[in-house]
Amino acid sequence: MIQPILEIRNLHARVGEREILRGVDLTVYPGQVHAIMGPNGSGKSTLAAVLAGREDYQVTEGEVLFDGKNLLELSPEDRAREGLFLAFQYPVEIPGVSTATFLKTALNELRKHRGQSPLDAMEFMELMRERAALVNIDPAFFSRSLNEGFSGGEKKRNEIFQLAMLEPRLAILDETDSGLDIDALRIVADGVNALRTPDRAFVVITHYQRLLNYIVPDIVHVLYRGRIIKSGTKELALELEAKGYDWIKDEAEVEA
Amino acid sequence: MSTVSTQSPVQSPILERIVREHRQFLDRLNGQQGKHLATLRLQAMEEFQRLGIPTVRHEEWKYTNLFPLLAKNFSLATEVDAAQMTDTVSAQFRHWGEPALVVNGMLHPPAASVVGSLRHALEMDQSFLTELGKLAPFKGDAIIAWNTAFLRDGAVIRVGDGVEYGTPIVLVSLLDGRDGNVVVHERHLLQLGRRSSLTLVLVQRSLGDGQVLLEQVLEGWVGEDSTLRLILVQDAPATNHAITTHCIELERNARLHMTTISIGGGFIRNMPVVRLAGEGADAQLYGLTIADGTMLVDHHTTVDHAVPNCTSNELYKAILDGRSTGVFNGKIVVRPHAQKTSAYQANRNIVLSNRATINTKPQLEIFANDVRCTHGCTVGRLDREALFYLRTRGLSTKEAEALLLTAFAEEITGTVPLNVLRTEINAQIEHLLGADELA
Repeated sequence: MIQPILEIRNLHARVGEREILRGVDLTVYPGQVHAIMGPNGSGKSTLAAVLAGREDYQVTEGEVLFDGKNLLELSPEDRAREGLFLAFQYPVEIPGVSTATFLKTALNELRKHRGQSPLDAMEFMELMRERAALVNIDPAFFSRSLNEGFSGGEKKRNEIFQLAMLEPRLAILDETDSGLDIDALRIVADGVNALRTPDRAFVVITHYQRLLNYIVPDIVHVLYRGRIIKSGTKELALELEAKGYDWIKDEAEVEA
Repeated sequence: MSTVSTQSPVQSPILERIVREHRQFLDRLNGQQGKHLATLRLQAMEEFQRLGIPTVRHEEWKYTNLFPLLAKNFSLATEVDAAQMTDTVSAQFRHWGEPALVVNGMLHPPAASVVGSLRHALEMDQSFLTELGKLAPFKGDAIIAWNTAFLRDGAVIRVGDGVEYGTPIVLVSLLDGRDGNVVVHERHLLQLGRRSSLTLVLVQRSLGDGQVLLEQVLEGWVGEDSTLRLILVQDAPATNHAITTHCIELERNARLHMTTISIGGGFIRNMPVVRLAGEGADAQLYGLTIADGTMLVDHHTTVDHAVPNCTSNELYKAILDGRSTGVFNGKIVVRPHAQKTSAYQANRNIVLSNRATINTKPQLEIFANDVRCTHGCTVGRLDREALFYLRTRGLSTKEAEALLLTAFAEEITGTVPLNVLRTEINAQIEHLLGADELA
């Protein structure tokens, strides 16, 4: 029997006094792409942040298993080393740290965790060039400060480039489509599609259906007021696009 | 109304000791080096006594208390036979450039160089005395008065018109602490003619376990269209202390590019005083402090725009840990006629420990109206967002911190115009910040 990569059970989380996640359940199997949609403020980015280990959020109930391990007990770096990757909605600009230096440190850290020897400079450069091509990144970027002065599109491509370098088990894309024009969106989506493998899974968080034309999900979930209120096939995304979120909110209110 | 004594009872024993040593110093010299110099020393001593050792009540010293330092009872260093050690010490700096050694204040001039000794220059030509103190007058300045009272030797560096001196000069101050705590006074003169250039590295080393205090004054003229690159490397062990006064005057279209790296030592007070005296002159000052333990580093800068159309830029950064103290006092003066001045100043600090202190004070005295002058300062911890971002990529908190701190520091080390020296400094910094253990 295939084990799920991610199992979220009745997850509740709050920031300060405000409860944002109010009982999320989600199971993701290897090879799958899950889309999580929902209106603004429904808790999508909070879910991503809690999974990545952001300390501003307090988990009050529920559990998260990642490859069978208790994810919530792990530090953000240990989650990454175990194979979790979060593509940030707003990638952080880090002046003075080149993309190459940063990625070499990160990759070798992961390799150490996996019991692999560090890549030497030549192997590393070779890998960078190969993976950069996936998302149309110019090698001139390698020596530039991480995300500093990058356009919105460059930052998002850089996130997918990191994903390609670090080869996670599970990648969470937090609104990777926001602020992208159609060409950039296509590049990012092509990159993601090239990285789909039978033992890797994706959770794609998005407000709009548009991205899902390019990254076709296996399952679409609607998150509303901190809970997944509806799940379906990719057609659900189309329906949301056509009808908006109101009908689904109404449905949820009726049920509640 | 009560009168405030300039001399507190606490400082009396220290001052008395200095006065006593001055008398012995003059006795030992026994009239050598001529009458004029003897008079200068006496006048300077008088002024030093009149002013007293600056206390924290003195505006220019409010964040930096000299007394705990001077309580170490430094005795005046005496001449040592340095013949055997010059070669071995010089060898350590030869890959940076051309070393010139100053042992306990006495210069050992290298052969065939633009570096000569001040004492020889004074022996040859007493009129040379008129040059001394032009940029560093002792009137009203206790430290310069102290220096002048004990003036004996130092380097005289002269670069003629049109000479681009390619090899960096490395002035190594070697202080002998083998027989206890010593203070060393150095006086250097630097003259660059027109269309010339020079790179000068200043570095301090000590012998033995004693505490050593280097009190150094440099007066430097940079002629028309000339460039001076000055690098101050302060990376000695915590037994090494320094009070430096570097007075530089820039003529028309002259440039100063100065980087101060203060990453080792006990007590450090640097006072660069830059006077932009010719139109089109440009001064770039960079400084980096990395301090831990009880280290104190005070960058006390003065940039004086005396004429129109000059530019200056200062960027000083500090990383403070432990119980260390950082001070940045940046004074910018724009004289009434110095229109079209551009002066920038920034001070950025990262404080890693609750017990570390940073004092930062911009001091703008602008008397012209058509001026662009900005200053800014930040004091903070490491950016939490950046740390989290790096951790989500698998870096430990320690590694992420090391990476961010190294990047913060390398903005300054990147201004060191000598590749080999920059590489060495970066390696030291990576070690200090734990970045040398990164995968």
